[in-house]
Parts: sequence; structure tokens; C-alpha cells
Amino acid sequence: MLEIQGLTRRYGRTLALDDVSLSVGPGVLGLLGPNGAGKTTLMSILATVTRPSAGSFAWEGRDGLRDPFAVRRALGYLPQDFGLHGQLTAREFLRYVGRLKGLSGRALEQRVAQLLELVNLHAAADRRLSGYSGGMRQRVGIAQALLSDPRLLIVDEPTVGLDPEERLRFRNLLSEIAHGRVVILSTHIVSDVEAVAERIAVLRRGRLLTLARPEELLRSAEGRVFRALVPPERLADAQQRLAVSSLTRRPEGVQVRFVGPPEWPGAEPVEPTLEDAYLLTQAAA
Amino acid sequence: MSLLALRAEAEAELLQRLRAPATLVALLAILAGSSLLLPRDGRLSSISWTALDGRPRAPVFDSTYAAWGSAVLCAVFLVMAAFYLVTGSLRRDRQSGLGVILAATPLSSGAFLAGRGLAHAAYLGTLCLLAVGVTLLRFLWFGAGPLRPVDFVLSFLLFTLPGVLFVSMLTLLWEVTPGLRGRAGLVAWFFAGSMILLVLPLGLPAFDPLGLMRLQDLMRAAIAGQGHSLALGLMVREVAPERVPWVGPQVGPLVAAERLLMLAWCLVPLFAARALFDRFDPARVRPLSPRPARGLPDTREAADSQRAVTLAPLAAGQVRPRPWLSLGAEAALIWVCGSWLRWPLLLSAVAGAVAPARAATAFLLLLVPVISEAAARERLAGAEGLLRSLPGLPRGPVTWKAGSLGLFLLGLALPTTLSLLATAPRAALGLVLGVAATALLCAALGSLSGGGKAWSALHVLAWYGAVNRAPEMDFTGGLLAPGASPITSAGWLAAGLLLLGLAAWAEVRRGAGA
Repeated sequence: MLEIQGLTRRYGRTLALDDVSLSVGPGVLGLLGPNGAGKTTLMSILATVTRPSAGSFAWEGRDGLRDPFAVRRALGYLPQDFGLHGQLTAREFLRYVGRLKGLSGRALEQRVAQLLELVNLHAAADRRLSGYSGGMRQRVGIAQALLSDPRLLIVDEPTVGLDPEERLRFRNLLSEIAHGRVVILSTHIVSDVEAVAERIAVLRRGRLLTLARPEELLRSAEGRVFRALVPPERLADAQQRLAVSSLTRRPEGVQVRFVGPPEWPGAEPVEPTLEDAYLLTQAAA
Repeated sequence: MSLLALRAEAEAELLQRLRAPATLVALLAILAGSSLLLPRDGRLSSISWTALDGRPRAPVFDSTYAAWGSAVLCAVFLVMAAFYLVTGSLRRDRQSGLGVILAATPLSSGAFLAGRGLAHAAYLGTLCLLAVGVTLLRFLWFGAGPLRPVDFVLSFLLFTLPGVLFVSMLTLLWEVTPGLRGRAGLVAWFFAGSMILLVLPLGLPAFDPLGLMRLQDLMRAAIAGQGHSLALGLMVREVAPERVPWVGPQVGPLVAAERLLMLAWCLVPLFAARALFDRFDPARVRPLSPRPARGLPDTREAADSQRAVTLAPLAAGQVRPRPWLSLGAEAALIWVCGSWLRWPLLLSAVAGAVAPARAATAFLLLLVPVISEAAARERLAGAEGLLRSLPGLPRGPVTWKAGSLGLFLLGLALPTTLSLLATAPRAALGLVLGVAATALLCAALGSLSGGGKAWSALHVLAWYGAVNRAPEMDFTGGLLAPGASPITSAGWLAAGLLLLGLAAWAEVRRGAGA
């Protein structure tokens, strides 16, 4: 449904996105990568907000650069950083964006009411947005992205600022709506991707490193994740030598979990997590 | 769909503006302006002429005078203040990130801009309507003769409304044009706006969106055979003009058609804005990737490296919050945030050592784009909470801002002050007091309004008055306008102190103060 061909974006001398090609079908595609990997740039291009320096993409066979409105009509977009009209209430703001997306009359009112319920803001719907907390604003952002029942949903760090309960709620919602739709989810929270993504794309320095199913990534990490007990005085040395994924202080020393070759005496293999698998892709790059 | 979306865009922006605290200030200013600037007697008059016997005449406060006087008043408002009230909405959307959400909707750029322009027009039109309403009430209260609604309707529909629409669309063009959409545009409008709206129609009669040229012709015709030297706009005469009955402008079908045709001029800035609009694409405004400073590692590379990082503890006494350090840091930040405009500012400041008065004229105007938003920077960026958590702030953010601005401005004014000390110590004192007043007013108004427009408007008006030799407006105490003295500067300083106190009180009320 979404075909991406050699997308490249330069900012002066910096290459933010470097020749990324992939094909995205229905379901959730999780984007993972460190800061500056190019995730936001890629999403911004697919949302038709930024034009690429080279390459193209097609949505349902139509060129997204030549005919951005074909994409926009199908799109729900939640950017990483966004603002809201502080003097409007949540209901007014959603009505406003809904009209911009082509909804009107009864359908609009119903949709707004449903979404306010869905994101758990119905009680605060008629309060001005300037008085909302960060998490509440994020939920308004999520609601506006879902207004037009999008077939292509692009969400950049959607769970930032949400409490655990709301995060879980949003994850479930994403799994639910992904049926028959293309959802692109970018986040730093690996467990969020693990819970909902059917495929994961790992980016680094603008390049696509891996595109795989979560279980494939996990399989690739088998036998490559270890733990070792390190005396506190040798911790700095261990951190220099190993790709450490976590540290836990214990009375008998520091338990270090690391990925890569078992270059520490007494290291024993452990069951990998998706986070370990992700770190392995980054360490290998 | 597009019309509906266009209406939605206009409605949302209008609501956003009407509910903002700045609207209350604008309403109060309009109420005061429409009461004071259209006097019914005394030496002041908005429409006046010299009679054949050489004595000044003005219309009696009847329905015709009230209606057409309002039209003149609205035209002045549109030239001087309207732009500053509505500009900045696209910048706000760009900075807040809302712009990218709007850009990803199916709304076309043309419809988006037209909707935004109509929202500007609805807002300005409401304010103009309020001015007309106040004048109408004053007429009903103490006016002479019967009410002639047709004059109110014609003056508003044919003269004020096209002006409102044109200024709204021209503001849009300003907001999308690189170089004008930033703070420099606020200063540029002061000159270019008057040129476009007042001077250009003199040479190009087919271009008269405000209708001031046509209005002047019609009013001249109305006093034909009775007098000459018609003056539109507020005038202070040496002798109070005699108030006489007046027929007012006679608007025929040809004039009405001409005025309606003027609406077509609104399309020019709208289409130009459409051509320049980047649809909030961050790639089209993002500056080139900055090079790391010499001797510092590239942070991008540093973040990517897998090196282990250890954090050494600081020795006791290494962290010592000090107010003067905070003042210096903020003053340095004002300089850094001054973009390229800080260099001409510095040049004019240095030139003050050689030609104090001339350099001060440029220096004081260039302050507007450089310091106007300094006091509201954190609020505009949504980082006020961060500011409040800092331990080194002396007695709350607004006093800290005032101190930093004072430090910054006194530093810049040093060459002029030293030069004046040698030749005219009183003028040097006036300048120092005036600079201090500027710092206090900028900090206080920025804190009270949450933006830089209120101070910019006041400062530019005072500057304009002073360079046009109005001594009471010269906050530098005589450097710009003869007749002013350090006492004038002291008056401005007192006003600054008063407003600073008010801002500090307001800050404590909203929980941001010390």
C-alpha cells in the first residue's frame, strides 16, 4: 500500500535520511533508532509535510510527491512536537481539525464525541486547552490524528507524557485500528513496539539497518546476550569493553547485561529481549 | 469541502484571538480611541478645514460627522495598529508545531491562507465595528440632528471593510515572506505599511484600498465654495474651530462601484502569499546544519559513540547560584538571540560616540526586533517552568529580565553616554534614565502581555513622536526632541517602575514569581 523508493533528505551538509526504500503493508510498522537516526524526517516526508531531496513514495499507487492530497485525504498524523490552540476547548479544536479534514454536521459531532470518550477526555472536553496537562494534550493530539478514520496513520512518539494506564490503552487501540490500515509508529519505548508492531524498521544515521518481524529480530539475538557479575572497581573497564544494556547493583557486585561477544570472564548467556536485539543492530552498524 | 474547511479555519483563528487576553487590551484601546479621537468641540478635530475668512471650521457632531469621522478613525487604526494586532499567527503555528498538523490535512494552501486572512479580517472588522458602535452611541447621547443610518452603513461597507480586508491579506504576505516574517518585519511594516497604504495611492489613484484619497476628494467636494486646506485625522488647532453643519461626502453609484472594485486588490497579497507559503515545511526554514564550535566535539558524533561516560562529582562550593551571574547570562542570551539584527544595532551603538543624536535614532528603533520578546521568551517557548526552577534568579523572572535588559542596554548605550558626558552631562543623565526606563517597560509589558507586541507598539510610537519633535514622548530626555529634559526621562522611568511592580504582582498571582 505504501511504497518508499530511495528517500533522501539533506539539511545543508547533514544527511538526515539516506536512500531509504521499503514497502509497507497493512499493520503496524515500528520505527526504532537513536536520536538523529532520521525517523522524524521519514515520517514528516510520508506525511507530506517535508519534501525529500531525492527519492519518492507512493500511496495506493499514487505518487505522494506529485499528488500529496491523495495521501492527505487518507492520513492521520501525530507529529512528535505539536501545539494546540490554547484558547479553544478540546471539543472546539477537534471540530476545527475535523472540518479541515472534511467532516461536517452530525458525523463530525459524533466522531468528536466518540474520540473524546476514547481518549478519556470527555469530562474535560469543554475546558480550554491552555489548562491541559502534557498527557492530556498528547491525548488530544492522538484524537485529532484519528478524526478522519485514517487508512494511513503516522504517529511519532505518541505515548510521550502518557501515564502507564493511558499508554496501555493507546497500545491496545493501535493494535485494534491497525487491521486493514497502515500504521507507522515511531518510539523510543521498545516495549511499545514489541507489543503492537508486526514489522520493525531500525534506522541509524539516516540509513535503514534492518527490516524484520519482532520474532526474527529476537531470533537473531539468540546466543548473543550475556550477563556477568562485575566487581564495582572494574565497572568502568566493563563499560569500555562491552555493549552494556543494563546494570543492577547487588551486594556481591554489579550485574551487567550486555550484547555481543562474551568478552568477560564468567559471562553466561541469557534469553534476549527485543531491546537487546535492537542494541545488537546498533552495535553492529 | 474547501469552503467548509475555509470557514473552520477562519472560525478557529478568530476564537483563538477573541479569547486571548490581548483582545481585552485592544478593546479598551478602541473604546478610549473612539471616544477621544473624535471630539465634538475644543481645539481637537478629526475633520477640519480653513474657511474663506481664514478661520478654522469643523463639522458639528451630527450623524454624518459621526459616521464619516469613524471611517477616518478606522483608516488610521488600520494603518498604525491593525497589522501589529493580527501578525504572528503563522509564526505561532510554526513554533508551536500545530502547523505540521494543519499541513498534513487535505486543506489546500490557498484555502488555508484565505481562511487565516478572513479570520484576521473578522477580528479587525469587529474592532472597527466596535469603534463605529461607540461613535454611534456618543451621537445618540449628545449628537445634533436626526440619525442617518445610511452614512454609517456606506462608510463602513465601502471604505472600512475593503481596508480591513486588504490589511488582513497584506499581513499574511508579511507573515510568509522570508525576512519579513520575523521580528524585522515589525519594524519594516512601520515604514512600508504607511508607504503602501498612504503614499502609494497618491501616485497610483487606481490603488486606494483604504479609500483615503477618494474620501478626501468627496470631502473636498462637500466643502467646495466654503473653504480649503481640508485636514483628515486628528489635528490640534491653535484656535478651536467653529462647528458648522456639513453635508458630508456624497456617495453615488460610481463611487460605490469603484470602492467595491478595490476589493480586487486583496487578491494580490493573497496570491503572492500563496506563492511564497512553505506550508510549515521545516526543511524550508531550517538553517544549515551548524558546525560545532572550534575545540568542541560534534555532539551528533558524540551521541552516536558507544564510549562509556562517567560523571565526576563537583567539588563543594563549585555550584554557587549568584544573581549577577544570572543577569550576565541573560544579557548575553539577549545578544545571542538578536540574529543578524544585532550587528547593525551594535554599529549604531558604537556610532553614538561620534554622532550621539543621529546614532540614537537608529539605535533606539533597532532595539525593537532585538529585545522585544526577551521578557516573554520562555513563555512563548513554553519553558516558563524551567525558568522558575533556577536557583540564581534575583526576586522572580520579571525583575531578573528587567535587570538583564538594563545591563544589555546600558552596555550598548555606553559609547553615546561617554560622548555626552564630556559635552552635555544633562543629556547623558537623560539617556541613562531613558535606557533604564526602556528596560523596565520592555520587561514589564513583555511579562504582562506574554509577548513583545505591546512594548514594541509603545516604543515605536514614543520613538516616532520623539523624532517628530514631541518633547513629552522623548524618553531619552532631549536626545531626539528639543524641549525634553532628564525630567521627561524620569517620568518614563517612573511609569516603567509602576508597570514593573504591576508585572511582579501579576507574576506572583499566577505563581511564577519569587
